[in-house]
Amino acid sequence: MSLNDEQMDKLLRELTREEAEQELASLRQEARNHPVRPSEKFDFRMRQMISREQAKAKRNKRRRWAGNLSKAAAILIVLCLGVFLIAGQERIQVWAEQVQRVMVSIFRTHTEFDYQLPNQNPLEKVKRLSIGQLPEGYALEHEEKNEVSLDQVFINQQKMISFEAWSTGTLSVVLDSEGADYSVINFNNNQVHIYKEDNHIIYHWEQNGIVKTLIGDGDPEVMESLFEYLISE
Amino acid sequence: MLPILLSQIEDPEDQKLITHIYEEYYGLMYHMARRYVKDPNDIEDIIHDSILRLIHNLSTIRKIDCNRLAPYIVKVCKSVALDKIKKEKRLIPFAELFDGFEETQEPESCAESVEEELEAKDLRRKWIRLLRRLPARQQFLIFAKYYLELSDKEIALHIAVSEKSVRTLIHRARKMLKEILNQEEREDQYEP
Repeated sequence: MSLNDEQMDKLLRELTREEAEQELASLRQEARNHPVRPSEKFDFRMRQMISREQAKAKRNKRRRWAGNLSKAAAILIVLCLGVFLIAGQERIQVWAEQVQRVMVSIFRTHTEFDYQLPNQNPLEKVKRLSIGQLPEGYALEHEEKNEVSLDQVFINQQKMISFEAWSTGTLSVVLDSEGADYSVINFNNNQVHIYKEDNHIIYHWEQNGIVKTLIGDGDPEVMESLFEYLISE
Repeated sequence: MLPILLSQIEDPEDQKLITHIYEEYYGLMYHMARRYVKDPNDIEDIIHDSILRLIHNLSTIRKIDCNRLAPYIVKVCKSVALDKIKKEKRLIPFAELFDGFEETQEPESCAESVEEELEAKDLRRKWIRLLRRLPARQQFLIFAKYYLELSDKEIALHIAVSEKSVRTLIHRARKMLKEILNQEEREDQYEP
């Protein structure tokens, strides 16, 4: 018997249907012949588990929200501080402290970075990521560049890589670090803060008056090579 | 730190759906699990893990046709049971693997007028037996691909492998099935 691909597909569709129906029919017969009910203890355990899963999902949803907010809030701080530069240093300090208090109340486990950079450095020379530097399948989801910031987001199905660079005189960054392994390394005379949790990695560093953050849940080796590319002069 | 995307119960409607599945299909899952383990605690563990696996595959449940939900639940339970056996390196008597599988087959008739029909049915039964000879993982892949009609991407999410791996595994399963069919055919030819 020699089947071509089309015949094989047809045969498999029919066989799986018949097999599934047979298996289900035999189980239904068994269930009719020997009806069973869960014990009270097991039933209680199962219903608890289903409720617990919903609670866990809600927590994850809050964490996702907090993660997104972290990024959005960080950008907001940078942009606002850029605007407030003209209003004077003291006023910026007061405003930054207020923002910090809000951030601390949202992210109970967090790291704060305060940058008092001497000059506003232009972003022209900042290296950007391009599709060719990422593994196949990534697409540019978002890119925005203005005088004080660069923001790029690349998506590959469920994976994400994001790169942000900020250049401003005064800057506060808060990173949610809950459950992350934190380490600091020295790379090309730059102090680099690294956060790792499962497949997620954040590289955060300051380089020549520009603060850069690489975030992603891609392959760790890919993330490392992207980081090395971005930090190399 | 960063968000971890998991397909879990977020919607109260999903909680109702999972509770309904647990209540409605407890009996079927119980009898499926009982084919592989005899200890009541082990049976309960398999049902618990099956429900947990279903929770993590809510996107699949939402997608598949409601008429195919019961076979899907049964297959998930079977898959969990086989994983448990494999994990605990338990051996089950070969005959027990097929307990109940033949119960619903129609009784054979000796009437000559339906001889061709019976031959065709025999052949189908043989093919189904061959399908069941595939390794459990490949059986599930074939089931997901051809019965549930899930895309490679959906199957990949379900069994936590890449799409490429799904394509490779399905290709291997088809090849293996063809080999078994050819082998059976050769054996039939040599039969006196």
